[in-house]
Amino acid sequence: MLAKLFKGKGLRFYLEIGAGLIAIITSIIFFAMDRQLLGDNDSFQDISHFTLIFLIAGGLVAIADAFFPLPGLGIVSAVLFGCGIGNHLRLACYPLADINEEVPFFTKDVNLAHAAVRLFITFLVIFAILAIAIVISNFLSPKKKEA
Amino acid sequence: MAKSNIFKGIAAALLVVLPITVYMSALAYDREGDINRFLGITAGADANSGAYASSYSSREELNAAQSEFQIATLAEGSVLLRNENNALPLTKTKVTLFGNAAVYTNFHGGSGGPANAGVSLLDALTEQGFEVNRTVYDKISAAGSRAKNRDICEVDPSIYSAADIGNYKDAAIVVFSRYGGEENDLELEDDYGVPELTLHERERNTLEFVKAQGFEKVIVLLNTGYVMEAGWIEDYADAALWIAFPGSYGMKGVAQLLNGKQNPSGRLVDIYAEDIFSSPSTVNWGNFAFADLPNSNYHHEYLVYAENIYNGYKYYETRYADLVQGKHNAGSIKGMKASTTNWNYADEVVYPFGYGLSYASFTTSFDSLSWDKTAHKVEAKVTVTNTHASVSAKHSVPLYVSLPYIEGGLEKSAIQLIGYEKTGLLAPGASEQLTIQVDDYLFASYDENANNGADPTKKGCYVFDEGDYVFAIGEDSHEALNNVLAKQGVTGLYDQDGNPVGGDASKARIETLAARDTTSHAKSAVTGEVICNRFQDVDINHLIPNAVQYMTRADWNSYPSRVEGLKADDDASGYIRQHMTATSSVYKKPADAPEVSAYKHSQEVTMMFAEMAKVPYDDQKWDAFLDQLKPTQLSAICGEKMANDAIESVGYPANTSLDGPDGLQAGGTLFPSETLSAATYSKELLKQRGELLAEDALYIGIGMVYGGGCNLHRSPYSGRNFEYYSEDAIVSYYAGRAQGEAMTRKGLLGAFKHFLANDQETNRHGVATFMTEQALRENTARAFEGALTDGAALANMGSYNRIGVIPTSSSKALMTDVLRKEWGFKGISITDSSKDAASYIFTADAIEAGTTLFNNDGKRADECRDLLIKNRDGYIWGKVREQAKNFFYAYAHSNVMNHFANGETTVEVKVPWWKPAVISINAVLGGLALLSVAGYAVFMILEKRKGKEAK
Repeated sequence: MLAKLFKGKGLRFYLEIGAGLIAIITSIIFFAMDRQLLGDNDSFQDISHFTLIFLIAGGLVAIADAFFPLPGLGIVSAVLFGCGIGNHLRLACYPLADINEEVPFFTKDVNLAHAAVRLFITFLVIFAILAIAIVISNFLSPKKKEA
Repeated sequence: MAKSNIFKGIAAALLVVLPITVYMSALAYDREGDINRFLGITAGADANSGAYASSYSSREELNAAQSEFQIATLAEGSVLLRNENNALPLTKTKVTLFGNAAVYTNFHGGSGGPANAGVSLLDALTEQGFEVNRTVYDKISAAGSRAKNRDICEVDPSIYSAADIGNYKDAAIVVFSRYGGEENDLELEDDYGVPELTLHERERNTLEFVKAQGFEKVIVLLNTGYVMEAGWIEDYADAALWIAFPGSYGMKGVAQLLNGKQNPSGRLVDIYAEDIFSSPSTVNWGNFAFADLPNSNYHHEYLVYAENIYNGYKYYETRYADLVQGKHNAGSIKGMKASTTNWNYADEVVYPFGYGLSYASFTTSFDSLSWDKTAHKVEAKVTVTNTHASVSAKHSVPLYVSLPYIEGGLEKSAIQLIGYEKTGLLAPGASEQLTIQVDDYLFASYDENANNGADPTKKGCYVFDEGDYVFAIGEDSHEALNNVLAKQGVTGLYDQDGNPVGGDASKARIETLAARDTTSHAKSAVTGEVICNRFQDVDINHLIPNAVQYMTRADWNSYPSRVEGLKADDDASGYIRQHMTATSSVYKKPADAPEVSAYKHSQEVTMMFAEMAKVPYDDQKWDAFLDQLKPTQLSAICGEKMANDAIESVGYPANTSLDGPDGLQAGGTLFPSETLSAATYSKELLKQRGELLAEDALYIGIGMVYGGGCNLHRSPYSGRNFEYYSEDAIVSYYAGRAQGEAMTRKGLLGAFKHFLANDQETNRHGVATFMTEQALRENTARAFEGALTDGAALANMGSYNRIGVIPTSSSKALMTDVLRKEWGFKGISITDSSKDAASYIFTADAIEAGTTLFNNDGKRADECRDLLIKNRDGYIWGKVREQAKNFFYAYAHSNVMNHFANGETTVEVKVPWWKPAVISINAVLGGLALLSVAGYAVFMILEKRKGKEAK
């Protein structure tokens, strides 16, 4: 059954499956680390869960598109990844501003600001790579070319 | 590759990027003030023409003046703590620098303002002809980094080697630093596991190394805006100078102090204790939470100023006065830290408040004192003579008073500063007579139990108790107190080192008041408003009976303990819980609120803003001016975005605001820290500070700066002490007044902050702050009173904390009854950045209380608009008009009037270039994405058809 699902699939399939799964896993890891780090910190606590939601949704849509390619589904996945990354980048701006200003206005703690920036930038790079994979997958056809 | 896939891929790429740019655009609009600041976009007019034209022809000329000013500030504000055998000034030039801060100097604390950068100590010393050991310097450069919060970053002294010192042995200059700032109190246990303001092991080892090398002299520089525990100085240093954070050019002044080109004449603005935690105000400082309130941001923390009025030196000196007279259990072990058997002043104190040595020597004679009890003025004449053979120097003379203490009665400090003046440069042998004038209001005591002498229906007023008022001069608070005690015939006196002294009765004068006076200051001398109890809810004991034992000099065993575990529900009225837990507006529209139709709006424009420059505050023209505004224009004002937009219809030009207080963000010059400026005890230099800040504002193009800072140094560990003047309210009073008046005169609105009781950064958001009304009025509020009374400064910035349980910006008692009615303040009250405090600083509540603007928070304008238009709240409408008037009145007295230099009255609305740019980017990306999606759809259909046809 499982072998059947994967039979004759091309690069697009594996990009979407891979990016989708990694997005789901890494966004959960990010959210858990974010909560662990920032706790109930006040100024930007509310939007990291949107990153989680967008990336999980983007990942699920990418996986769905891999197995059941429908017109436009790949684009929807890309939009969701874009929203997730946009949200994530916005979130990252607060600790980045703290470091730039040398005043932890948002994070309340310089060390926390540095830790938050490390966390956000690390995951920003991961999410950006995943988004690029999704974009590439959209250039590809769902079916493997016949030899 | 199929064409549909190409379009699909392009669409996907664009639709990944588009949400990102939309998110970032939304963020940019949300924080547009920060973006403008970052990009250096201001609303400034020409600095060199108009009502507030610069006194300098160019920025370069201004910078030169600022450099001279900073050199003078460092010379007159740096405090010479020790100078054994005239170690300073240095007469030889080959020196070796030690300590991380010798290279990685902190020029500024961690707060809003210019970058932490300036002329280095190395460059400044080289400029003055010193030869600096570069081997050791380079080693520190390689091993060190700038001190930061929790970490003093001192280099490991093992990097130093005796072989590196060579012949640079004329002097070792050791520089230590401490750093804190906004949201960053110093740590009671830092990364090294010790209190941050103590001498650290690496520092001690550095000093030990230096001591062992046989330098001719060892000089210590304290590069910190905070008091450090300094008992170690006499063990290691021949001389020590406190230089605070010196600003952009201040190190030049330090170098000139070291070689004697300048003479130090600064005095401490804080007492230096052997152990900082011996101060009672440090006991209830930090983190305290109501035991029965849920742990939620900004809604459950409190502080109790259990030390009552005895902040800083007032505690140590008062207890000493009682100790030498054998009164009130002053020798008890309560509060003892450095003493061995019983509390002892000499063991507990290292340097008294007001202490400061000079290269010169002076005599002072107290020529006369008069207290005109009708005019409410005290006038002291003091002659200062420079007795040094060769050094010319300035010298300040502080005037103190000791109030009559009635056993068990109103709390009184045994000594308190009430005024000061400073000589000009006195040549050897020269004399100058100083006249120190003081308003007696500044030493009246607030008695909440008094029957108000002006309105018998009210309780509370300032009083003068009957008895002897002993006015004294002295080189510091302790010497002045000893002079008072000598005048009173007290014996057994000693100095801060424990040496017996007699005191000098000739430096004290007694004025006797035969009967208690409850009328002289029962009304405001400025406005005539009755001064009465307004902060009874700020004293926790009025909400929860006997919740706290405030410290009283009647029994020093009342030295405070930590007030922990207060319960909101012990307040039977529910007042604490109601206000602490409120997450939406507490404001209720009054039943007698006027109809909105009571106010005109959108009237034909006949009066432009340019014409309002000279219109007095109470002139009815202001009403007519406001009638011209549309409701949306009226409500938009309160949503400050570190700027206010232009209002084209009435010709109001845009304005920009920036953070301070030690210089302006976005390209301003970094000034020496405010606490150092206060330590000059020079009103002239504080005036210059205000003028030069205003000059900088002209060239940068801003109308309002969030500063100076008037909060009290309640604990040396408070992260922003460097940008607040002093532990003493009177130092702050005079400094704020001199600086505020100068800023206003030059057209800069100085928003003195953080009004009030924001005396620590820990829990600063929403912390409930409890104290007696006497402590609030005589200390906490008095510190702001000089700056904000009757036209000195035309703005203030609120604090994040609560006064009692009411956020300060929402406290009508504070923002209207005291600030505007008692003090006669006319101008802008702006919150601290209220976007971050929306869960407890509510728009309607703050407007009702008397708040004018919400800092960096454009959304408040929408809420205000809804109150006016949707709720049709006539009461709030009236308040919004009052605040709009305050806004326009303040800016009519600011440098934004330079826009009308050529007689024009209209303004051009300018949109920052980045706004159309980001909209364009989004539009182009969106358009391309749509086209790509359309292309994808079209080609997909075509390819499907083609496929079918092929089949």
